[in-house]
Amino acid sequence: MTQDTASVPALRAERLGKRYGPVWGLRDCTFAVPPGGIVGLVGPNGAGKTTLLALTVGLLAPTEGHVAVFGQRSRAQTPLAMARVSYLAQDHPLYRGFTVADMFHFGRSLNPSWDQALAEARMAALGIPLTRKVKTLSGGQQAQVALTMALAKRAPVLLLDEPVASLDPIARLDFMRDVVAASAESGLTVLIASHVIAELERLCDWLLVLNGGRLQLAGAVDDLLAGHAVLTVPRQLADADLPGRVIERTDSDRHSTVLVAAAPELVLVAADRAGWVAQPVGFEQLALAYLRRPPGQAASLAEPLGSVGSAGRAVAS
Amino acid sequence: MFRFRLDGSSGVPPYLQLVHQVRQSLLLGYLREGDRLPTVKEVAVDLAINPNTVVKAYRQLEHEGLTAGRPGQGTFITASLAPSAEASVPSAAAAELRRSLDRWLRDAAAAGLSEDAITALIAAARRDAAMAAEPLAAAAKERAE
Amino acid sequence: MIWVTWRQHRAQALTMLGVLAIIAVYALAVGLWMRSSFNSDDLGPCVARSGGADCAATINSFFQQFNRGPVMPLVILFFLLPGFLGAVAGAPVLGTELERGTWQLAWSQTVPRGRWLAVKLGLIITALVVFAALLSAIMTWAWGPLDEVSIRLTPPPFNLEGIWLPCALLCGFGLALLAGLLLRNTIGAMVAGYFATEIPFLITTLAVGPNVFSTTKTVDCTGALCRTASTNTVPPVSGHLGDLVNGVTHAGNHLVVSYTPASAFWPMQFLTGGIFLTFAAAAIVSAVWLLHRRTT
Repeated sequence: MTQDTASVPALRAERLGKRYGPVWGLRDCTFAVPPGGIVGLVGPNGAGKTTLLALTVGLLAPTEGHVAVFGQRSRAQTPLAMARVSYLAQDHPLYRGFTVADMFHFGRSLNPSWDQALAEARMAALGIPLTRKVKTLSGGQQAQVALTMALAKRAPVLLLDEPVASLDPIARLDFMRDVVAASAESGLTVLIASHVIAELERLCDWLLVLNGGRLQLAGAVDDLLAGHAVLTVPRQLADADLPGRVIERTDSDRHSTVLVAAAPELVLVAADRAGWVAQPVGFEQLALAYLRRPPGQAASLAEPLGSVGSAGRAVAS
Repeated sequence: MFRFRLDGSSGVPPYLQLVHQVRQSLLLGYLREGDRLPTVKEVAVDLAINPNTVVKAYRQLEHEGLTAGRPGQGTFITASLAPSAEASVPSAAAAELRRSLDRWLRDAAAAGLSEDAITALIAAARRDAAMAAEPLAAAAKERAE
Repeated sequence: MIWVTWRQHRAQALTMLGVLAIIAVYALAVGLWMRSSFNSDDLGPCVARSGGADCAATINSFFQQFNRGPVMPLVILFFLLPGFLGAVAGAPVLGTELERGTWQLAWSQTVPRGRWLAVKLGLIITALVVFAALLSAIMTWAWGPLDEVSIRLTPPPFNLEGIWLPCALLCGFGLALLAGLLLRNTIGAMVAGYFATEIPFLITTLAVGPNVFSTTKTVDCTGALCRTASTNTVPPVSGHLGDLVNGVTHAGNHLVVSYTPASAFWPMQFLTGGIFLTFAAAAIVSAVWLLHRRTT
């Protein structure tokens, strides 16, 4: 993976936190995402995904810390900051009484960088007439119109909040295909929030795991997968005798299956010597393991992992 | 154009699936030297996967000497794995491998393994070897470089 | 942003135009009918000549004919209208956006929400003021003959003329706007805004009323006039058609009259309008401030 130390991260959060009354929706969130990739934001409902996205686009103001898009803090609510992020909210809200043409007129009126040609081309390719009223479109078509609104804004960062949750499988695939195409074409940085981990595996090259308002894991997928291994070891082996750090341990009568965070050569050497079985960890397995950890505990874990592979880029320290 | 397919539930990482499909097509003769593979963007959009995954797969294939990228033109097949190319393997080594395989099959039958059990055993051994060796070893090699 | 405001509130704007047209036509018809009756009864010259004393009976019958009859629909309508139309205009601005979730769309484009709201408020408030001013002008014209022979100081026609209507409409608008922000619901905000407008309405009608500008006068009287004088005498014992007599006390050959002069019309309009506008401004400023607070 190429690394340009001078490049500005597409998204950077520093101790970001948001409190709703007595409850913290998000706490102590620190990460830095490089530009150009597709980032998966994973976590159960209520984990703080929507809060994080809303803070990034500037719809909410942080209680503590800050988040910046290509160096511009989202708190500013200036046109300069707002022009950098496109946002597709959950359930893709649209003005239901508007026609598709009206929606694009809306986009044109409120965005100087609006690309009307792109919007119309997408509608033509999808077979959606501009004169149709939004409320007469199917769920999948509405999602596509909403995506078009976000893409035609031509912002360098695109945030999608559970974009395919309400779509049938075919509509889902078509939607994600269009996101991938946009990402490949224009070097867009995409952040997709979802609670369905399996769907994100094929899409993401960067991962953020959120639970209970805390960031459990952050890093490039390749680095994270390379930096973890699943070891099958005798039951009586203590955690301290294992290489790296134990993330999750499952004990049976005579053996234990342990997910460790450790450099690959450490794992290979140790496994080879002791006769353990070492296997790579799957994407979903890794995300779930970090999700299952108590919120807040893994925060310190994310930092050392940042030094695996793309040095220091995973987490700003 | 060569079309890939992804099996989301197979447990095999997507980029490896792409690599295997190219290798398998080469073995079966469906891909020949000089054929052009689809662009990274074409594959990514077709399968709705991250373009970097395709990049990784193509890089792996290039590393194995199966493909080569020509700037501005695309990625092309540069080798053949079809049975006729077995000539690259020394016949003595190939003959010895074949004898040892025959011996193993006789031993397995004598031990009472059914046809299905033999097939399953071979498949499991190959899977474990592929999964255990590749990413960890590749990553370790990358680190050592 | 101008197009966006128009397109989003197009339905309400067209409805209001429709309402305006219907009321205008009806008011035109009633006004013309009133005028013809007024002229045929020769009331104009009589009032000019004698201040109404010579044609008291005609005035009474004219009043009975029109004040209870054809103008009633307008009277009823105008008791309901300002709060209702204000609420209909105000509730959707923030209420519908928050209810439908489209605020996430509207405030994540490239226009900061402060500017978004400022342009919307500017345009809608201007439209409401123009609408109300036109409506008031039409109603003032229509009420012309009645105004010449009777009181303007109580609703009706106090709430149809002057600046009452624009101020009340803005009050309904502002309260419904704030309700929309707080309740995140359109219908709820309309209802809340409508009933909330009743508060300043009651304050102005009950507390402020004609009593604030009330004054007393002693009038000499003779014979029958002394005996029959009351608050309902036409023309009023205070001397001018249009005075609102609040109380009459008999004291020998004098009458002590407590009344609000007709000339108090505009001071009362300003006071009442001021109360409505204070509520409106407080509501709108609160809404703007609360919205600002959620961002920074």
